[in-house]
Amino acid sequence: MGFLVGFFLKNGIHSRRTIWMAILSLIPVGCSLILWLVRTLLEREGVSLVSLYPQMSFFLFLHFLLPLMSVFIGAAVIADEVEERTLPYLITRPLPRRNIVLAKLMSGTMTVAFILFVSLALTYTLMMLSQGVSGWTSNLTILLQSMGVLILGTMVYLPLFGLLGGILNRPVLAGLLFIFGWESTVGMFPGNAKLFTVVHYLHVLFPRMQQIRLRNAQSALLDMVLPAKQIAPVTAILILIIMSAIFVGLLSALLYVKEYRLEQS
Amino acid sequence: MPIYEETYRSWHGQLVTAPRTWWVIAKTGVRLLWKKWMIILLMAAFGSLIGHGIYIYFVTRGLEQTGVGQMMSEFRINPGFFEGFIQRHWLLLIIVLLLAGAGIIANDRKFKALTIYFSKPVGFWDYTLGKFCVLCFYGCLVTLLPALLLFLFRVLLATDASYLKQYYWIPFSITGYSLLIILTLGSVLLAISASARGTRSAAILFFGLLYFPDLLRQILSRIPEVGLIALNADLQQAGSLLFELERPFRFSVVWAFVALLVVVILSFLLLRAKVKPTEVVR
Amino acid sequence: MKIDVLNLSKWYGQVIGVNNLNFIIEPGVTGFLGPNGAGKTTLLRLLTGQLRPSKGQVAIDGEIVWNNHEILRKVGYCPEMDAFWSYLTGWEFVCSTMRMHGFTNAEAEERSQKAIETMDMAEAQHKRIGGYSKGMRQRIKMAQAIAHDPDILFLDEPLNGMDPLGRHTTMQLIKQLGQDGKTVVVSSHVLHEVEQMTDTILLINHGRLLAEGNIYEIRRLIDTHPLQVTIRCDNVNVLTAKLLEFDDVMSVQFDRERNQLTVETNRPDDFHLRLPKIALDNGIRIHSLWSPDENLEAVFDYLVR
Repeated sequence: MGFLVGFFLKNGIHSRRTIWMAILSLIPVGCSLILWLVRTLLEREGVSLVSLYPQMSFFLFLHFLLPLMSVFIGAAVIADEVEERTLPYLITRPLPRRNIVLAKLMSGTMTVAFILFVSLALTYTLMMLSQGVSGWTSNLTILLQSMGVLILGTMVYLPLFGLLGGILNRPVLAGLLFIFGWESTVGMFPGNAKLFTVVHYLHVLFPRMQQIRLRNAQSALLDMVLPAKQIAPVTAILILIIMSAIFVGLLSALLYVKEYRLEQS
Repeated sequence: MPIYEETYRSWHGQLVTAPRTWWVIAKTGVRLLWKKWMIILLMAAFGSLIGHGIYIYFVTRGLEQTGVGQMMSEFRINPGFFEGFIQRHWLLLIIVLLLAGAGIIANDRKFKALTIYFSKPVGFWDYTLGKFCVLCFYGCLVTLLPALLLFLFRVLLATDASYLKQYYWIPFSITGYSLLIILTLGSVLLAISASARGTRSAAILFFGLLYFPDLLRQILSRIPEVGLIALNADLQQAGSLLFELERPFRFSVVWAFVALLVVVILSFLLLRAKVKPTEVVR
Repeated sequence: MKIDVLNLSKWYGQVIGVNNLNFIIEPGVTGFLGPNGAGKTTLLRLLTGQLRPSKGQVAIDGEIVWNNHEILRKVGYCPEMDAFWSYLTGWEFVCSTMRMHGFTNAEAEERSQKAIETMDMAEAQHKRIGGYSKGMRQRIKMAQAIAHDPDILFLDEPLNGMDPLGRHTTMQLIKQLGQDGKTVVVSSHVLHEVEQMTDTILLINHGRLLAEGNIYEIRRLIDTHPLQVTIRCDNVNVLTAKLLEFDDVMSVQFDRERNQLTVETNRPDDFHLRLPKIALDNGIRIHSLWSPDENLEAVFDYLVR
């Protein structure tokens, strides 16, 4: 199993997809750098970088990078081997098929988590350093908490999109529709409809959520009118782990049930 | 003598290249994409059209005639309604364009079909125009056509010609706005499709390009000029001008048009660089 | 190790891939012969557990193959498709597949080295597969199939893209593996290649088993199938008269305009031996000679009819 994870990790590193993801992940860093350079102008408008950080991490990481990277890498978990026609080399070995799936998911999670961590840490550093070293150290828990949430999110999204990739011909479109259609739209509804999204549970765990929510007057108002059922952080973690386990199980089962007809060369 | 028994004869006629190769490319592209998922998405657009039609019916026959609609202007079928209708189809339009366009050039590059295209009397503009027409066709089916049908329905429901006299220019605004959106998004998508290695990468890049600047705009909402980098915001600002509405954002509408123009030009420059019959592999 | 195929069928919607196959493959080399699209690759995928049978079963030493990854420990597979993780070197590729087979690092390296040397790829083993020629890629594919010393080998068009020397070496290797008691299944659409590797053949077409058994029996079928030979010569009438004296010549059609005749014979070997003597004795100059139907498709057509 260890070898398989290492093999797929190496595979991932050599793929253009990972390089593109790494480049994409530098965008928030680039933005933070620009904001850092123009921080004096921003402070005149009453905007401090430290106060911007929760929104940066929320919008750019939780709502943009994480789902986008998960769709891109998750949809390719099985689809990649099918498209590249290397699947026979894997399924004609004495390897339980669930090991192949688990190894691919683990290597994918490690790749996404590493890329996100580097990007998030650099963004955090640039934003917090405006308050000096003390600013950087005093808000470390926020960094670690947001990173934890991103890892949990990866563990749910990756097998979900892997499942879509194994079933559908166009998993990326379906994944994007899910993220930017279902999750975004239903997430805006007041009440308990949010419980049917993954991102709602990630919101429960995300640091400074209240602060971010209050900035969005419309959703704050809606939440006051029809509040969603309150969920404890531990419950949210449990639900996310259960979701992850279900998606991983389904994806593993798929490889036992579905057969892949590879295009002849 | 039957043609198969004829031997070689020299052709003394005039060689004429097909005048409308872009039409052939467009027609073929449209036909190839007319499949299950596209039909489902178009049915969704049609469903939305029906829903909005029912709304127009009740508002026109109900509220406006009782006078309630006169007071509550947001229920009236005014230019804002049509602009809002097109905006509400944003996600559907993106998905349809992605389905039609993510692989439209990427697949030609992947399967080395560009060499075949350009070995025929097909120029860059024929090829690009043909591909663009495919996106235009499906984009219009989701935006322009339903919006025009809704306007027509509203006009037909009117008891007199006053609505038409007041809002005769709306179809032009609908056409202009829809084509502006399709031109901008279509050119960006074509450029991305020509640059990406595959359909998947193209789809992700396109989504990233659309949504990331918008997120940035939301984060830095106190600095209105940041909105210029978001295509959606620029298009909404341009739409507000075309429909004579209040500006939704605080940056200049002229700059919005400039930003859109820059995007379109850059996209076509990138297309020019990428769409070639041969590719040098280093 | 024995392979049992019982009532095996595979269909994709309305399209039948293989249709009610029943056969047993014993140790030694067995050739799957058939034209393109006959179902050979589908059959190999069923035998290696990549596809699930729609009906029937495939068993190796009594164990069902589908969803049984343990049985694959004894199986080596060389796919027809030219697909790799092309950033890997040949060495890394074979080593990785050995690690996937469960060998330790040291064992995998040792086995890989041996297999790579057997396939004469030692010089290029540390170069990336992406830079290999077609023949080199084919050889490295073979290397990964044999490196773990499997009891059963499935080789799908193993000689594709190889140069004559490579073909010869590979054919010798396959024969040797058969002689060592391995069960080797080789799929090909080229009769004379399979002939050089084995006597035992399964003839497949349109997913059905047309003929099974010794190659010489099948060759006899070809020999008894009337062969058409077209001859362009100076003196058509004289040649026709002479040829009709022999009882294996079933018919002669001639075309005066083109100065040629088409002969149907059911003993082509005798006919070809006899023709030069007839021409020489009667002073007939032969300009050209060809057989429009001396190919595998014609034989299959005949067998199917």
